[in-house]
Amino acid sequence: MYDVIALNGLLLSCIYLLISTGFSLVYGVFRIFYFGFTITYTFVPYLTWIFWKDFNLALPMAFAIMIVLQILYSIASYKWCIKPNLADEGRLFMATLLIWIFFEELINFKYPIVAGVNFPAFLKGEIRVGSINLALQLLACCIISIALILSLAFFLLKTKIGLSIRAVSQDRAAAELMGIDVDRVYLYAMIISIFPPTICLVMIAPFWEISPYMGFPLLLTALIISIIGGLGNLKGTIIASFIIGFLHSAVSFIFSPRFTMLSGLFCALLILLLRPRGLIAGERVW
Amino acid sequence: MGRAITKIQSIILLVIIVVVAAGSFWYYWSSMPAPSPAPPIKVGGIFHMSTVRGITNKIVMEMWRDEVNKRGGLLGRPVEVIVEDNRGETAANVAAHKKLVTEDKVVLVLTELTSWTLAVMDSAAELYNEYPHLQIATLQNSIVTNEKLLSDYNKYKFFFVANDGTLDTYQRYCESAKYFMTKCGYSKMALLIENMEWTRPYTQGLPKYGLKPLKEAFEEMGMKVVYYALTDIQEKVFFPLFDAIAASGAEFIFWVEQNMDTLTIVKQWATSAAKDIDLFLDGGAVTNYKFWEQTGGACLGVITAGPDVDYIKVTGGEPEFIKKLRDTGYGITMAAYHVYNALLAFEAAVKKAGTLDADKLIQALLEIEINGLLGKIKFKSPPAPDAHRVAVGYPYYIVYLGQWREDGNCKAVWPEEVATIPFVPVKSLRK
Repeated sequence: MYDVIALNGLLLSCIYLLISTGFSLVYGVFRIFYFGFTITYTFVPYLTWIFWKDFNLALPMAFAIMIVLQILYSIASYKWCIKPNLADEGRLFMATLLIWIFFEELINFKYPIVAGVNFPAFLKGEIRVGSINLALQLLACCIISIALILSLAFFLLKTKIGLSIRAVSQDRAAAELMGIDVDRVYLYAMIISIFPPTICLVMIAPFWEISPYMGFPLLLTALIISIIGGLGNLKGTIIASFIIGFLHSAVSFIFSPRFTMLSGLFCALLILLLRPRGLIAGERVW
Repeated sequence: MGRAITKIQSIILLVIIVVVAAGSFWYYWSSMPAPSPAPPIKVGGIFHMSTVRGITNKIVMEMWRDEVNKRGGLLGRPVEVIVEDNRGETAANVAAHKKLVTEDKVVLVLTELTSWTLAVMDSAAELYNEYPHLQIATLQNSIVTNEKLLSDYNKYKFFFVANDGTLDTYQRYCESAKYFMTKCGYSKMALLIENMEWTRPYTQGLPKYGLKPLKEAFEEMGMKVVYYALTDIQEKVFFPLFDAIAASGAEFIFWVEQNMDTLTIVKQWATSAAKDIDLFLDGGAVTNYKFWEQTGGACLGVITAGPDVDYIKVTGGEPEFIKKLRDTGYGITMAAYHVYNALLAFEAAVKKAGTLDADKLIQALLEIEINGLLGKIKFKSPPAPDAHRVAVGYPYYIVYLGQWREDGNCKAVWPEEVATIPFVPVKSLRK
């Protein structure tokens, strides 16, 4: 029993980590709830599908174009949606919400569920670990997740751009006075934020829900993790991802899958009551 | 003294008179208004037209209209079909119904889903005396609709149901589960039930009709339910669930659901520790003929109810019906069968009654027994608890089960009378 909970917990934790890191990074740098991020999840399978099936390109090429388009989406979102509305939280909230819903409906119009959007696992087969079967691709997802987060940590701690991002996340005005180009840092943060969820969705799509409305449940998970970890703090996000991953695994296995979301929400509420700023105080991105 | 008319002159005169007379006659007839053709018999449908099911239902109605008109119409009159969109809103069903009955003067209205059907039943009862017409419900109409009919039979006597109901489904669950368990010698099952209003009779039973909760019923039939859970339709992560089922020793997974994300379920089941445990999913995307493609073949071995099988023959008309619908680009849905059967029953009733008088049509509907699709059509009479609903069970209307097989198609495997291929446990299929 413990091996099942542990392995599923590890798998879910790694997936949740990738899903929530980008959202948390954007919050950490901008201090905004960027709901336009939701569509980043949905873009992964659908943009890939368009170039793979509609334009008959090879799957790796379709992935590459999808990533380029995701970057362009981030830049466009920042330039035309976030930047002009940064001073007005209400308007920004509405704008990002509308972007998300607009793209969701657009995707649903062209590719409803019956269109059968999917793509195959590029790592075939499973391995038996203890009493559970684990798809090789999901195992690879776990390894990539950990490697990616370590790389991100290294990037934030050891590179000049990383230092700038941390500086802006701590105190934007002070960073600006120190000569940091805040506009450029924001842009970097937006671009970096799309990589963890994009890589995650590429890895898990063969085993996960693909629908035009797949973004919201993922965003909700990211939101819960961010609240527990401390809004916008990546160290907190890592810890919270593992807490929620193992909690979901245990609750689902021991009780019922019905209680997984409830357990996560309960955990988030508890944190809000006992440590309102999260496990790690979220005043900076790292 | 005048000259006598010669013979030639008289012939010419005669010809002139005949030509003038014929011309006048022709002019008279051509200037007369053309006799008006018999007014069409109008049949209406209220569906959610943003769904594939709604579009398919409309196609089926038009298909039937063309067939009937080709056969010479009904009572010598052409048939016209009018479909209204309810936009998925209950209130819109009532508005659409009123429009169909009072403006279009339809003699039959097809509806679907319990809540929408119930709303139209009330509207139809209000209008019945002034605008007598029939209502036939065609998909997912629970026992509640029959209860309403029997609560005031005279008020709702125009109401019929063309789909199987709660009592039929309960019986099918028991019979099919028993079949698979017996055939494979299984004794332990995992029972999962979608947490929705429509599944209440299966989680809590229907004491009024002597039905126990499904878990108890299965156990009384000799199956040990080693894993039991309610599942929510928004769930997306099933790996721990399948691991728990595998750990429970279950040999068969029986999932009562219509709205779960079957795509995700199947993709995760196929790589989980439960991948060699036979999986029955009652409905949803799993019934669509594109499901194999959508799951990349992960659905191999999955069993489901009323799927879009590539071939089935019960009364004979099914292969052509399947071909016609697939040619339109839309696959088969169970609703398509229900709609077509409802229309066939209406056609037979009109022919039997020889009139459009609603009371006589109601009587005729209760008396007919005809070949429909997936079995004979016969409506049950009161005092049966599900009166005015089609009789279910071979040779009457059946809900077959299909299994996803190696060639990427879903094949009918149950009941044995209509099976096109024997059921094979997933473990053997994977080999």
